[in-house]
Amino acid sequence: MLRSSSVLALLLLSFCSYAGKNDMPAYNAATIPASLKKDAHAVVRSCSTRIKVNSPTDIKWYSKYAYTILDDKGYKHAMLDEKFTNMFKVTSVSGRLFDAAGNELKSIKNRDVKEEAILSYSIADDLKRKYYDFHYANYPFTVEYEVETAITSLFFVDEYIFADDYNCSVEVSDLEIEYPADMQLVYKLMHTDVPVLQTKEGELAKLKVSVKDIPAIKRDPLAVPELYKQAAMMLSFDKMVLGGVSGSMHTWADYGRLFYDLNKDRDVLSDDAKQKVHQLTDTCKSIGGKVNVLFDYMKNNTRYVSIQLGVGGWQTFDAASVLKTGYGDCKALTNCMKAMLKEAGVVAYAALIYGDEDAPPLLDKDVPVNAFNHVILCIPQARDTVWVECTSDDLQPGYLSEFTHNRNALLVTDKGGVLVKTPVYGHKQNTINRKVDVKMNVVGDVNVAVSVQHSGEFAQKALDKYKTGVKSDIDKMLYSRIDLPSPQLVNATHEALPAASYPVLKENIEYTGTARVNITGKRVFLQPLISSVKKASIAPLGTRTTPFYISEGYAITDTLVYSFAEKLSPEMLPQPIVFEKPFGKYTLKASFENQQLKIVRTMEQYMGEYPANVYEEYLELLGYAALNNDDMNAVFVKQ
Amino acid sequence: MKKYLCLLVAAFILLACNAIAQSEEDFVKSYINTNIFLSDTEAAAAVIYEKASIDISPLTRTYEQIYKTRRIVKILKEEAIDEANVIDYFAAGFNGIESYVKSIEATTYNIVNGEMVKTQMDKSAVFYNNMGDFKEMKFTLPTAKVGSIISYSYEIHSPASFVLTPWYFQNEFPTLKSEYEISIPAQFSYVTISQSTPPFKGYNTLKSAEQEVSGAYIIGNEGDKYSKYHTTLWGRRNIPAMKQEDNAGNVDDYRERIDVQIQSPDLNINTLDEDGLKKAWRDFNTKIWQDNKLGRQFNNNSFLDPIIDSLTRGVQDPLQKAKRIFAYVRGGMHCSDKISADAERDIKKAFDNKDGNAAEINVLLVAMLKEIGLEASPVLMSTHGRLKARHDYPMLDRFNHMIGLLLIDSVRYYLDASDKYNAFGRLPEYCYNGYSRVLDKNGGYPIMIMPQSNKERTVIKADIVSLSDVAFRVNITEYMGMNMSSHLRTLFSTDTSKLNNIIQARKNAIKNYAEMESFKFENIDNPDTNLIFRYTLYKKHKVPVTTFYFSADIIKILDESPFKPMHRRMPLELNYADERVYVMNAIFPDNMAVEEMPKPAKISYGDKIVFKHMVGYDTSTRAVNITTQLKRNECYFEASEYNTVRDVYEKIVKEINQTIVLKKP
Repeated sequence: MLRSSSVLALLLLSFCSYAGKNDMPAYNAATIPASLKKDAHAVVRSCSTRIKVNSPTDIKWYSKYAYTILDDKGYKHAMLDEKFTNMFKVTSVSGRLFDAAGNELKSIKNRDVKEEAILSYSIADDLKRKYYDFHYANYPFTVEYEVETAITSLFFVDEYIFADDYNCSVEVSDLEIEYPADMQLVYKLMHTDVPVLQTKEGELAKLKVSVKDIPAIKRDPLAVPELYKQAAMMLSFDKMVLGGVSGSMHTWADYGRLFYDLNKDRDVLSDDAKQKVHQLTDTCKSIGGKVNVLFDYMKNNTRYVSIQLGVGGWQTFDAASVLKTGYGDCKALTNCMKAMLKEAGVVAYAALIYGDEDAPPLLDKDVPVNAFNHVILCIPQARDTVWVECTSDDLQPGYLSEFTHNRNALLVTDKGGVLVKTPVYGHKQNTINRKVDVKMNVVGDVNVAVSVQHSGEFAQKALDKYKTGVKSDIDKMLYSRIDLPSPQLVNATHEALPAASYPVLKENIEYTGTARVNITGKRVFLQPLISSVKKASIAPLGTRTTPFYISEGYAITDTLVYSFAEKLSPEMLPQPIVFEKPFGKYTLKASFENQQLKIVRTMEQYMGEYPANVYEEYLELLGYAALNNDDMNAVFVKQ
Repeated sequence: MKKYLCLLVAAFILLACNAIAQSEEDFVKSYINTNIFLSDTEAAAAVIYEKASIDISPLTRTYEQIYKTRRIVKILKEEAIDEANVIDYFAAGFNGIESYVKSIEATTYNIVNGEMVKTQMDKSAVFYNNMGDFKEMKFTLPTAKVGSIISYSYEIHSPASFVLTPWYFQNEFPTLKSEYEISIPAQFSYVTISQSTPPFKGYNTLKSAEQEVSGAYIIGNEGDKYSKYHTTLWGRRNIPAMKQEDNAGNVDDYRERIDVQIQSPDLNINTLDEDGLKKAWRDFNTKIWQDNKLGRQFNNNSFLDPIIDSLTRGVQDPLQKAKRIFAYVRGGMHCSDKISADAERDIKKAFDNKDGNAAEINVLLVAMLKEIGLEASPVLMSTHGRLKARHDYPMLDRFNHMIGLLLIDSVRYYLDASDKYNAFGRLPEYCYNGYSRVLDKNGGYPIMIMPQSNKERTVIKADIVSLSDVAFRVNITEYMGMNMSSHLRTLFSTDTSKLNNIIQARKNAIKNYAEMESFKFENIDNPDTNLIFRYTLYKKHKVPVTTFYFSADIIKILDESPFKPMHRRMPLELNYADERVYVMNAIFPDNMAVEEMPKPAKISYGDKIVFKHMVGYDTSTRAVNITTQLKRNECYFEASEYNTVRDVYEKIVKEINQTIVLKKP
């Protein structure tokens, strides 16, 4: 018979053995290294992902991950929020909650998890989410979730990101991919050089990679754009099926070819439509003329409506349906315009692109990823390619705006995909040239005549407002341009000037009001800078150790001329400023001649990447760009 | 013969359908070429006709509600093209009865080559989504563009709700005709609150109502004593557009609308006198306190005793105890929903998990205060930007947030512990929205939480510590108002670069003649006091100056007028009473004469807005004091007062622009 102490020892031993079989690390928050807590609101304690590729249309993605939430700002990681569609479907979810010491407090199963559609601007989509919140906030605590997803196309298995959020560190993250040995997998690791183990076992091939101890990073609004901020792996398989169409994503050419095949023969027009195309374009003398006329037709007869159901998120409606219903999403409208141009004898291509006002990083030229959310049209020419944004009635053909400028696009051709770059709109295109004539009487009342020419984004934003025809909105815009205490708009005219590749707008605006002036018995104190273009800064103060990126380029020139009703002599004029650097310039010069005060100011900023050691000078430029009228004083003595 | 009869009937039905269809076509035809409605040249669309009707009828164990809607809209400008995308939400159902939609019709009319052409929507192009407790329906009309007239209708079948969907006669577009009809079982009664100019006039028939000059009519049909239902129709014609404006409450509070609430069958009145209102509010309180179990949350809370004891040990003053408890709840709970009226979960669970929505957190707070014998109650309110709650009927859906009220020595302290940066005794700005209800076991009572009681006071002190012909140094201390302090603390907690932007803005404000030498923020982590920003400005002249200029208001309490020129229809509604004070002290150097000094000034709009610019200069000590004060005591201004308010602010901006000039003799 065993002594009780021996029984106890055996029990303990068996318990330890059992614990030893648990290969997940303990979730005691005290064991998190200090280096992983720095700048972190949450820590990925472990993330184990297994991707099993049975075939190009049958993929199982299994993921088990655990977050320790350190404080309230990390709470979002405590919630399960798995989005899915009919093509990648979350089939099973479970979860557990642990306290600070790693003791399990609660567990949930699939039936406890809510499933609901997601509010979206699309008229129809199949986007849903599985959602759960433990409603527990005794920090630190840990949540662990296991999620199984059934994916119907390798199209969605294009990348794996080991660390995907700011202020969140990673203790350990493993990835294992199992796939048929007759398939080829190309991968590329980013921001890590950990070894990748590839093996073959019979008919199966395996890839394993593990990363450890990724520290948290903070959001940097001026960081140089990169495809991935931290460790990630790009993946591409040579065999792919999407919407019943077989292809590959091994190269960009393959990617484009897949899209071409998925969408081919959807550019067939009805006989009536073909007739209409010829009626509109047969008399056009140039390709540009045909593009403009067909764009106007599309503008007057179609509109943007988003419908993203199943493979419809990547496969367009046919052109005939678009003209029949009068609506379509970006790919449908682009396809329809392409079809009409084809009928008119103009070659054009759909171009996949990522639309956003912040330009995304340039894509890796070797390994494709699903980096697109939009489609535009490209009409290659011998000299200048014409780009067309088919979803916007406001953008003239040939101009893309900051939504899709300065980034990669993938042309979808019958020979495959071709990676190209869209035009850049910088300080040469985004310009304002203003002449402001101010006539001031003895009590400070002014008549102000502004003659201004905008181009690029400045012109586009103004044209968008004029197009609404809503007087109150237009007036609001015009009032925002003048910095007077009590302006009154008297008259305003505008004219869009013909321009090839970006919009140009001329305006003449008259105001009356009171100057920013203080008139005493002896002197006139004037704040003369009344034409405002204040630029909000997103640049954090302080020093940098990494390069920074300026994403917006512009050039603004102001010439202000004040004429006075009484004789004055200058006692103090605004000091001249000359600040010229590789990233921009600010100059100001004031002079007084023939009883006129003249101020000429230029403000320019240039897009691009700049070294960390010039960052403080860049802050100085931003300081000039944000100058208030307060700072510029002119003092005159009455004669 | 039978066969011919069938054919005859079929032909008649066809003719009837054609007649109905023909009448809509004729109706639309009369408007298809019209481009200006009700003289509104800015309108992006016009509602030609719309109607909603609600029929409530009995089912086996409950009541069913059929909501029918019909809308005909002319699209005049591009920005209204989304009127052709129709989205509606409805309750998914309850008591085992699911809601559903039927009889969807949608047609677009266009002029093509001079002829009117109609395109009907394919019914398969209607999409539904389950959103948990409610469903979403979406469809889009084909061939819609500028110049089109779109027409659509559908029915939503669902279990009956006693609070019917409110109906807006007035839209953001001009509306030619809008009607609302209800048909309810005869044993029910209803009450209405209508916002309408002019009041509805009673008529017996629609045809006679067409004669009504005012354009507001009501047609009621009580039936006779055998009638199973009675119906009422309200109609309005020629209603101008009303859009949301800046610095205003919710436009829906001002649009013409009607709210109908059905009364339970045993209540046989359809207007509420004061006694009726009292009873209705008591019932409202009972429903929440007892039926929804709010009252039980304040019983058997001994589990809170240990923490309360540790927080209040050694403290005698009840106010200090309350502050400690408030700080504990505010800092220790994760808020999952910042604006919430339902304390759904048991507070013990919320306490144990340190997690709750705003209502649960504030109920926990009230429970803890009650546990130490203080007089505390939960308060229901509607937040700014939502429809205001009203005394004249307890509309349940008007209330969307719950706070706490503490009474000590007849002083009221409003408490909201759901926001980490909210001070004791103050509420977030959006809570000051008028009528609110204190809930308690005695039936509750109303209170008014007005923006005027949300007092914001900002003080800027500028002490010029060094002033000579070679250098200028001034120490500035900005005491941010409590609303701004809360706002900045929230901003800084999410993005510390915002803090840098504040510093940058100050640096820029004084760049031309000074540099910021040092700066620091104080009280960032203490939400119960003002945030303080201290910095020093310094300028060294390259050569000694003979004339030195500086603004009397180095840091302006008002840079520019917040009110731009515009025509306003809605009243101006501001979230707090605002006081801003700037005080500058300096001693002028002996070797510089005062050439120019600002003049004192006073600008006011009654006692609603008062501005003073005070200048004090002692020639013997050469000490100067400039005090600039702006007090806006009023938070509500009628639309007709807007231009006056704007003018006053513009005069103030001009006044805060004076320069001091010192000159060497």
